[in-house]
Amino acid sequence: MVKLPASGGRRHYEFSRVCRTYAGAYPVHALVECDLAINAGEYVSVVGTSGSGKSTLLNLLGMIDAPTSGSMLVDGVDISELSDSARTEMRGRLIGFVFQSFHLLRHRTALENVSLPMIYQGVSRSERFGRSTMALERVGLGHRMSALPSTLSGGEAQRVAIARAVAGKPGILLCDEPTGNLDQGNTEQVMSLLEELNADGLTVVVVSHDESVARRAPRVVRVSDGVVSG
Amino acid sequence: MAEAFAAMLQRPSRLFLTALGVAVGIASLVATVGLTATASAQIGTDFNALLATQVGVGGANGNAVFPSRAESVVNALPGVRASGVWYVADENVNIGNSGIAFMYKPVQSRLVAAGPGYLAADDLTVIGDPIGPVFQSSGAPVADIGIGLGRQLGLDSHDLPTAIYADGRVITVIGLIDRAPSDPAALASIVVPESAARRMWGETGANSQSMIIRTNPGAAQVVSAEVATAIDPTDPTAFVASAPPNPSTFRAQIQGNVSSLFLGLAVVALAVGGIGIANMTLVAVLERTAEIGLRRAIGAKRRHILLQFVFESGLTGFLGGITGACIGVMVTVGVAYSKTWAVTLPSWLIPSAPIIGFLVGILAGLYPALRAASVEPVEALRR
Repeated sequence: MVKLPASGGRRHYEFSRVCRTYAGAYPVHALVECDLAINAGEYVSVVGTSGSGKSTLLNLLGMIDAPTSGSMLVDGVDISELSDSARTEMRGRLIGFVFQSFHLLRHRTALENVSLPMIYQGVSRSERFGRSTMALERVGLGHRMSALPSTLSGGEAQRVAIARAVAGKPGILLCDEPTGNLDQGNTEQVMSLLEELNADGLTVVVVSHDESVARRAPRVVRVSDGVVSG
Repeated sequence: MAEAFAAMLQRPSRLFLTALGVAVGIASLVATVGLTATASAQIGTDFNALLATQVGVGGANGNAVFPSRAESVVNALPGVRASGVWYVADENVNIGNSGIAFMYKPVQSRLVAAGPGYLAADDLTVIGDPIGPVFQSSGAPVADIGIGLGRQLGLDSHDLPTAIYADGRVITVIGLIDRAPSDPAALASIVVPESAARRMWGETGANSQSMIIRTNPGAAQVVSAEVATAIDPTDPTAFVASAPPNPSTFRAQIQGNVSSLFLGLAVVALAVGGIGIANMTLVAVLERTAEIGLRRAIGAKRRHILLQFVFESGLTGFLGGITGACIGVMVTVGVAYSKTWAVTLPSWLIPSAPIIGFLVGILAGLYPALRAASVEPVEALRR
């Protein structure tokens, strides 16, 4: 198990000359010589056109993909030297994910969906459901704990996904196009929630092609043809 | 485990159909073992005590002429109650109530020439007078006929003694054979003393003699081993004895022959059921790739995914095992009831059925689970 310094859930991320290349007949250089630092507690948006490399950057930040070269540090720990198992364990404790298509389990209730990540962290059942209840109440869905995803609106489903991401008390929230499937009203609701969570101390990174969404973050990182700036 | 259980319950109809394959295999297994045990237990109960005390002796090369003292020698063996030499003098003798051919419709019967001990050795019960040693020495033309033959001739016990004609020869019927538990053909036969048969029919059939021996219970095997030497000490190979099957040997033969065949079929059915589980689990892995990617992204290690899918298929097999055990027991009880047998089931059979189903499920789910565990979250979430 990878031991991280006890710092109240606040983390520091640093990329140094990180490259990600997809091999093939015509290799795709999705990320080129990326230098990026994200301090704990920041609210950062990553913006770029389709195919610019922003999702690749998000996958690397979320440790669900590995760099082809370069180093990735999380509070001084070189992630590239970790085994798949150790990286997975660290990812589970440290990072919460929010996806464009929500990725809720269809046949599980909202409460069960929210408690899912904590199963792999070894949290007891009672504590899982306790934290999940609090998380759902935090996102304004305490009255919808027994609802199945098919009965939730788009905005509600995304808020359940956000509750799932934060219930395990991660250090960073990574959001991939969190408002991509939402209307204007729900977009505003979700973005406000993310801002509230950041105000509570959570590091938030939002990947989006939507400039209006990106501008809500104090810091905007731009990705273009695999090159990161900002 | 809880995740595996919850995932299984999401598609109950698919779960049921997948488990059905294993259920068929387990049901075949349970029914085969159960019916084998029930039938072999029945052998011990119903085994014919009469056949178990009967030994037959014949010539090694088909033809045999027993020495005149054969019956007395064999009767002296320990365990022997009675012995009798016999042969068929005519397979189709014409029997009638009149000596004039056109006055009766003849009945064809088997003519048996019998030694003095034949009736007792063959356990034949006679109403009237049996053709005993007295008639043997005198060579008198007397006979005991089977009660079935008697009915065909219109004779019953009140008509005894009465004259009949066998191929035109007059014979006096002095007894009716009314019970022949080990030789039903005797009920339609005519049995004459050997001396009378030789005098009236000559040596026809006399070269193909047999001996039937009635033993005490449990002595048949030993007597059969000794009788050939007792009859002809100078050439023990001249005669061959056939002993009845040992009940435990018979039981083992049933268990060996019948069960090995049907157990083979049950294993095949179980393998087909396992293939069904493997197939459906692989389909589930492909369908749930995004779910697997999500789980991996939120902290599930490869072994978590592997265990989840292995356990899902194991549980499916377990359910199939329980269902199959119920079906197999019902089949065993149904067949036993139809044959009025007492049901006998080995104590290990029913508890082992769900365990076997579970193991088959785990084995079948191994490859699909390995496929699931190899899914990379970044690829899966892209879908």
